[in-house]
Amino acid sequence: MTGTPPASGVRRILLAEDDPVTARLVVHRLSREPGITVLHAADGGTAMSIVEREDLAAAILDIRLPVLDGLAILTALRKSERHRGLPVVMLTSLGSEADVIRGFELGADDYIVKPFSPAELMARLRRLLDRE
Amino acid sequence: MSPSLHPLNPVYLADIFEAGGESLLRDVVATFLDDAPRRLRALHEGLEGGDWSGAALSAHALVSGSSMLGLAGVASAARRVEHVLAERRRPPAPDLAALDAALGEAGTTLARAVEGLVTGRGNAP
Repeated sequence: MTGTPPASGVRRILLAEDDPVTARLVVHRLSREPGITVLHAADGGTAMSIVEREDLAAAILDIRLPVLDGLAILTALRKSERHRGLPVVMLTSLGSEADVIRGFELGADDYIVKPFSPAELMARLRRLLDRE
Repeated sequence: MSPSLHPLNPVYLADIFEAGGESLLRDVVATFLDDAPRRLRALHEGLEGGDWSGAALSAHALVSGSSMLGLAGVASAARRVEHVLAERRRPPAPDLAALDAALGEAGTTLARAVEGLVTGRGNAP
């Protein structure tokens, strides 16, 4: 799967984030972009259900998540024929450099450290979507 | 909480206000104030039940939400607790007390900052 807009013109972005404040801010910023719909999952299990069900253009994954963490979701994406090329941005916390390294080893395209500017996240995401 | 650490970095709330106005600002602050006590309760329940992973997840969520709002004091206290829990150790009582105290002050700190922003008076204490 790639970030190419489908015939409907809507790009679906998975946001796997259990903190409601971060999720609210990200959804608010991304939803202002024409043609982008955010599918929010508050735990890794729900995120995987969305992955299986939806045509995604990109994924934003928090690393620390209930049920299944972001690195496990990333691993599943990269093993999947369908989602191998899906652009993925990881959300990490300050002082979690080991997570960043592990994320890149597993195939993440980019990462951003909390606290972050939702506008910066959108800019990073746009770069990945335009690359596809 | 470190005595030298200001409880709030106002830049984050100002950015939220600029991005989404008063409604977004009040919405995210209310979301945090609604969610944080539940996370703190879950953290303590995790500690009592020996569920280190669950407690660490709760601490992590507190780090995330507070840092996105610029609540530096809460974020620092929660991060300290999370790091200890990640090593599957019980956080020292003073660290837990510091987190409780920082969260106890968060409502007042945020309310003052929000009113400062929406009335255009800045958010200095």
